[in-house]
Amino acid sequence: MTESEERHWESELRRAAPAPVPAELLEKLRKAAASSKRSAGHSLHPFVVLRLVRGWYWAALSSLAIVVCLLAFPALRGSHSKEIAHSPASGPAPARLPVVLVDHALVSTYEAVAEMPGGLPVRFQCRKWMDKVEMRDAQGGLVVEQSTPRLEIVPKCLETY
Amino acid sequence: MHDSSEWEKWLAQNAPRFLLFARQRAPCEADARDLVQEAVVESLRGAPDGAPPPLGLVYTTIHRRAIDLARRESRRQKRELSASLESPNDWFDPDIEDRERNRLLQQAMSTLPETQREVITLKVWGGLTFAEIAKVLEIPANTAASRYRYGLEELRRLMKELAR
Repeated sequence: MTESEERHWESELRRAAPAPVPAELLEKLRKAAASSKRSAGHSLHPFVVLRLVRGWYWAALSSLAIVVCLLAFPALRGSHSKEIAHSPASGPAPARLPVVLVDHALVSTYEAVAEMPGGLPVRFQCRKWMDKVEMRDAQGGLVVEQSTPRLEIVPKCLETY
Repeated sequence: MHDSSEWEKWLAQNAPRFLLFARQRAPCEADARDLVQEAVVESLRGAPDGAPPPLGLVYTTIHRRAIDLARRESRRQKRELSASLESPNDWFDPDIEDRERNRLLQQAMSTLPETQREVITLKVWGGLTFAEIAKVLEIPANTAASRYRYGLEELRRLMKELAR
């Protein structure tokens, strides 16, 4: 299919609009939207305010605890790098591994009938796959891409007389 | 603060798209509606000043919740029961003029692999670019584009066959 055929076919498909949402579901979505608007309003419920204050309190307390630990135990600051230095398997900081993506896309499926020597018909289920492997480096650039078509033919049944 | 009319407009325009996408991912209609409701509610929590959330966020939330749903084994029985009881819902607006065409389209879409269906839904009706689709579905943009292309070709072929 050429690009212009693709665009034409796309606009043909768009002539079919998605079916309207059932009234019951639409009402539920309206209620959800309404309650979201209320919660985003300027005046907050006192319970919500209390939760926010408590949240900030615990965040501040845990940050303070981390700072105190780092100041009181200087060894902690260097421990991570030492662990790495002493670990027998470690060396310099490992390079970011490339990302490998494997995809198997089913392109089409169809049935075929063949005649065996001797005249017996055999039905086959044929599936056309497109296997794709992509490998990208750590910076996100595409390094290698390979697409391989594959035809899978499976006998479905053997009719005997 | 955003007024009710803006919300109404946003819901009227986007709720059908969300439901169409959810229908591609959910095993039954009830689950699809739950996915939409949960995703909109969750997306609204992060919205500043009560503004409508970005479309990509809602689609991403539907996608992730659909994955969680698929993992939950306890839903399997409900799915089998629902599928046997409920009649199939229209995915597209059953306008009298195009009703037959829309029915064929729905039938053709349902036979496509889910990976292609979801990309086609987001691109054609969801209004997203390939980069946005890639973020929603957590796949590379090239993969989104190739699934779309193959899916579109297959869809066209199926529609021609079904129309005969």
